[in-house]
Amino acid sequence: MDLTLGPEETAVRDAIRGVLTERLPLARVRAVASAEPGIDEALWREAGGLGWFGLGLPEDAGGAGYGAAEEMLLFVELGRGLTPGQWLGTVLGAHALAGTPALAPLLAGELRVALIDDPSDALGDGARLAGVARGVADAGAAGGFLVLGGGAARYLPATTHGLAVEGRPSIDPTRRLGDVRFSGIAASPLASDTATLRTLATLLAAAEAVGVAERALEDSVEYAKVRQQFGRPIGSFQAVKHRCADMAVRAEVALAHHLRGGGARRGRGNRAPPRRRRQGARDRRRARQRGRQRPEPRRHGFHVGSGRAPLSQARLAPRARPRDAHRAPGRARRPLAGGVSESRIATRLNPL
Amino acid sequence: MHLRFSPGEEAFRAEARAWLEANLPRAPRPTELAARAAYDQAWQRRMYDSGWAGIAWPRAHGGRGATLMEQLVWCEEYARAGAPDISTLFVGLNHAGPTLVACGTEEQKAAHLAPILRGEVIWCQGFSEPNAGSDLASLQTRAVVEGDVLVVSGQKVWTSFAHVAQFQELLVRTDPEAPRHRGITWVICPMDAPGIEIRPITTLTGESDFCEVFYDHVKIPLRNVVGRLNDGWRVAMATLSFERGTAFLAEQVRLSRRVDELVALAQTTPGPRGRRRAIDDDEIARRLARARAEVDALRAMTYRSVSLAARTGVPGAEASMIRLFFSELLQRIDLLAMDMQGAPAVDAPASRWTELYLAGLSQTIGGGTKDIQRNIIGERVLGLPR
Repeated sequence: MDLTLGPEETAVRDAIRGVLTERLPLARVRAVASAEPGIDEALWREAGGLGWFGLGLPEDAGGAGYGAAEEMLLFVELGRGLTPGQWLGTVLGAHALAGTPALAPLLAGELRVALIDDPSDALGDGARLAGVARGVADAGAAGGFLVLGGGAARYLPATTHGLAVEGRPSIDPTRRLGDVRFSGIAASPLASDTATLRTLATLLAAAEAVGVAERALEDSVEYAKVRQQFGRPIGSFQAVKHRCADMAVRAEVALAHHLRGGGARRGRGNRAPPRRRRQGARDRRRARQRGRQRPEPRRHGFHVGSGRAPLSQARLAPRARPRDAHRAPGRARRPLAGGVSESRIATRLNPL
Repeated sequence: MHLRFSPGEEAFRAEARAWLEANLPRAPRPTELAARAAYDQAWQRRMYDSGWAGIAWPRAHGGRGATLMEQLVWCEEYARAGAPDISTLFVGLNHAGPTLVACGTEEQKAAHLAPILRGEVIWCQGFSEPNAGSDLASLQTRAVVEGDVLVVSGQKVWTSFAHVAQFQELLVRTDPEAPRHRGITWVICPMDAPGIEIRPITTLTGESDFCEVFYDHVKIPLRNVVGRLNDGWRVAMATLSFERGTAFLAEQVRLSRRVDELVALAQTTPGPRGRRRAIDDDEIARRLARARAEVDALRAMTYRSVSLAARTGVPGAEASMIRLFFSELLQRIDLLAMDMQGAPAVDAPASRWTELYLAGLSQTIGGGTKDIQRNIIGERVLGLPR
């Protein structure tokens, strides 16, 4: 057990952070969010070239051969960068669409997939999907939809006849919403196991939230060091200092718990096979080649970041369900999820 | 990053679990202090004889030489087995022992480490004073060098188990003229030295484990000084770093078990309106669920802290984050237990849960108050100005 980053993981993290810092300073996030289609398409293609969408896929499936740890690192960085886009649906899509013709364009950064979580099969569990999925993140600019039902996952290209998307406003400028209408569309189930996909989705959504928390903490602390009142930096006052300390504790709790959630994930391990080290070296080289361009002076990021948390909570991470406390640990129906929905996690812990 | 335990760590766990199952003391821990101390000492000796004392201590000093992560695994298994709190031996095993390993002379190590590991001696702490708590460096107990002895006069307070201890880790002011951090000395005080008077303090739970200790011209050999004369602040910081780093591992792990017990209690206790079971009440069920998630998060933080310490060699300031989260979480859990009991929570004699609640109130004070921990986090982790 080691919940700290090793040199290889640090290199992967730094390479991802380098790209996002350079390509998406806060001013760029604002610009992207306020124009159509609301995502940075050039960055998306670049991410495809860097192998970000297939980090967790085996090499023979066209991926980078890493595991959950590296996928989690990517999503922490995406959260930290307040990066707009259908990253969650697309990375999940890479797992779900393995072996289908949609995989290659997805991995190349040419296909963005939005996620529709439908655990109760409200859209139907048979051969046809019918109904409306409301508040789907980044539905508008998606090339396809991954519908995660109770027992089966289905994929539908956005151009499918009978599928209509209607945009709706949200409080998060970096994450647009849409209502997706299905009028009795035939869709066959994918081979992937929905429980595994849903666990991964929870884990990666948690990773993104951890990244947002880290960014909020760092920006707040930085501000508390420079903002002067009564002739002193406000961070020297315990009323402010202690609140920053509490934020730091909550961010650390989230990070540590989320990493532990990754360890409880079923399936393959988290170690990169040795030959994959080339990938890290390649990322590092590319990051170096990109030079050391300074990010633009930071403007107040609060408005950009503050919409993320409530939206992350509303989606994929339902609030604690009191009934879960009844269930004895170990009698859980699903594997341990990430660190977001405390109640769902709580029911699945093995007692000491 | 290794998100799971290694085969070696799992093998260590299996070995620890098997030994604990076979060797756990069957008799309940006595309540009377002297008998309790004897019980703790016998149990420690049993662990020592089987190679389970000083898990992460160097082999050269009688320890097992295992990794910090294995030490943590041991704590998990120890809590899982419901093994007794090391209580009276805490200061020797978690404070004085590691401090002597790091800063003691060869003579001091030879004299004290083995008896500590074998459970033969009880140590107590002599840091806090009536006017030196959070501001420890303002301590005023004086010590004057006379020939080859230190002559100590003054008072210490909040000293657990002083009345059954043989030795004390004592901080004294040896240079009143020096800047306050530079005139302090860390010395091994034999508790049977003439001039020491011990007065027990009765605490909120009715126990008298705490004491005041008074020193009236107490003579301590100079060879008992750990580190150098007037270098005691550095030594004391080493002591406290062990406390923040690893000493509370067992307590943190045990909290998880307490939540499981509380869930079991909620299934048999009547709910707030007396109609249903406590667990059928949405509010209580939600708080239980949250508590269970939070103790797991605490565990995750501990794993990370131990990983970090293994990588860097020293417990970092992030240990203050764990301490703060742990102490406030413990109080939330204790308060939930009180709420579940309803009105009978205040009946005397107190139930076990009420006693835990009362005892838990000290958790945000002892070992550095929660406000001091927040200062440490703000200044040393986040770099905010003093």
